Amino acid sequence: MSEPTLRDLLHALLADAPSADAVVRAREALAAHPLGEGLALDALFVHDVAGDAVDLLAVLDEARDEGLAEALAEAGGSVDVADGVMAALFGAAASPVADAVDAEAGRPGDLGRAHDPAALPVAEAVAAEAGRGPELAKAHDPEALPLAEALAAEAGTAALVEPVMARLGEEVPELPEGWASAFFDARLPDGLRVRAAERLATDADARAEIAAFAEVGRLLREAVPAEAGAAPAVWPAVAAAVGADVEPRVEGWDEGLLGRAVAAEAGEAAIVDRVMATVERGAQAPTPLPLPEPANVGGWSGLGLVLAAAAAALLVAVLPRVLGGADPGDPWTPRPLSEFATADELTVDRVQYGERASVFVEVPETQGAPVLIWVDDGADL
Amino acid sequence: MSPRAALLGLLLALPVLVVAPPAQAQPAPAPVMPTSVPARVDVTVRVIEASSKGTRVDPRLAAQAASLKSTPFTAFQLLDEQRFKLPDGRSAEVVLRDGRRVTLTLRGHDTRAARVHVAIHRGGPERVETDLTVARDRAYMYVLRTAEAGVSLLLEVDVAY
Repeated sequence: MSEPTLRDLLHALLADAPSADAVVRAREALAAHPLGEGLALDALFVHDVAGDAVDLLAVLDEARDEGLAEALAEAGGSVDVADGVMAALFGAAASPVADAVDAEAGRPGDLGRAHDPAALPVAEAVAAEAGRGPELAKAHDPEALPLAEALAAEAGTAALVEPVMARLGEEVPELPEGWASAFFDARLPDGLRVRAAERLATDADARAEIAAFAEVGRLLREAVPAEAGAAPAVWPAVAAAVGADVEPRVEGWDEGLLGRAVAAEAGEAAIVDRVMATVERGAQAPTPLPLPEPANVGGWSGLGLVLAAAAAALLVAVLPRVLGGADPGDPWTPRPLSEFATADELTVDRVQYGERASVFVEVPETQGAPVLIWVDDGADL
Repeated sequence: MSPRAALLGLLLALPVLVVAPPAQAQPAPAPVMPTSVPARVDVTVRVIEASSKGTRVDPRLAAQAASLKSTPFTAFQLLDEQRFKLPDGRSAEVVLRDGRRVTLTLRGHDTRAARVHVAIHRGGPERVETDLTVARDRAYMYVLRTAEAGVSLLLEVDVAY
């Protein structure tokens, strides 16, 4: 039997009640070890025998890491780090690391068998460990069982929501009717969404329903554009009707986007008229009627030009007489101002204005004061 | 006249005195309403700059000075005056100095009143429109906001026929 090393002797001091002989032997070993140089050996292992031993073991490990292993080996023999760690953790009586691993995992021969694919597949080994061999084997057949059920078979059904929410002091409501549709549309609240996910993991019918929703959506996206054809751009026509700026104000904005989106869903339709029938500007009615042509403006047509020339000639002929005396029938003769209408003499039948404009009627309280119609047409004057 | 003849005359006049009501009980004469209307209506549009700066009133506005001073403004300047003879359904247009246009349409008229449509616009779809019924031979007034603080344009519309 070889001489015990300094580490062995220090380990011996980790026992609950180390003997005085063990202390003496450890001191002697330290005196012969480079680690003991400069140490007051008599002061070691007096008040805290185990603590001093642990400190010295740590120093030994550190010294080895710093490249002093060779020197230590020359002085004290081999160093078993694992044993030192285990001893530090579990006491001197604890088994070395290798023994502990062996105890947990079996001898190398057993491990070799486990690592042989032909002898024992990993999945089967796990299943054997979990006690779910048949389910796991079934789960590995993709045609026999969907993935979610395979996962459930592997891990079991984990109902996490209720325990978690119970810890949080909150109650999770039951899934409402039609939850699958809401889940598909991402309209379920968070708590219900998690519950729905749990439900989907175990409910094949629900998963089939979700899959059907997805399939219907895909078919719609394919079929509707094929039926709808080209999509009209709605905004330019609406903008022109309401007097808004037709040009896009945001760089990169595609004004035809809305139209194409609508057509993609609903097909081509005469949307503008219906939009404009709904749009109300301010508090008043929508699209104004075309104004009549004023009698006092406008260009001359060919016939009109001839008539105008004739009228001019006639005017030149009669002008001296007209200027000679005022003609009461002449529209250019100054006429006296009419009185301003009182509130009884004026009725505002209708007012129409845009959303940027405002109009209000001020009825005077004093006699003779005019009725005032205040107009702010909102124009950038 | 003999007493006999005087008595006879009194007897003959008695029925008249009894039947005739006392003068003070006679009803007031009914107001004279025109029974016909001309085909065209005189529409006068006056454009007046109204300001709260100063107190000057254009002498050409003397006839309506008292009414103008009942507005919140103190100074008035006549900018334009245009007269039109409009039949029903016809329009006239006045262009204001800021580019706005006032299109005035006579919707109709009768012995008592005229129906007038006024649109204030810039030629586009944005416009302010009013439909009014104004008594015959009466005027009314718009107050139009301008960009200048304290200055408005008064639009006086006089409807006479």
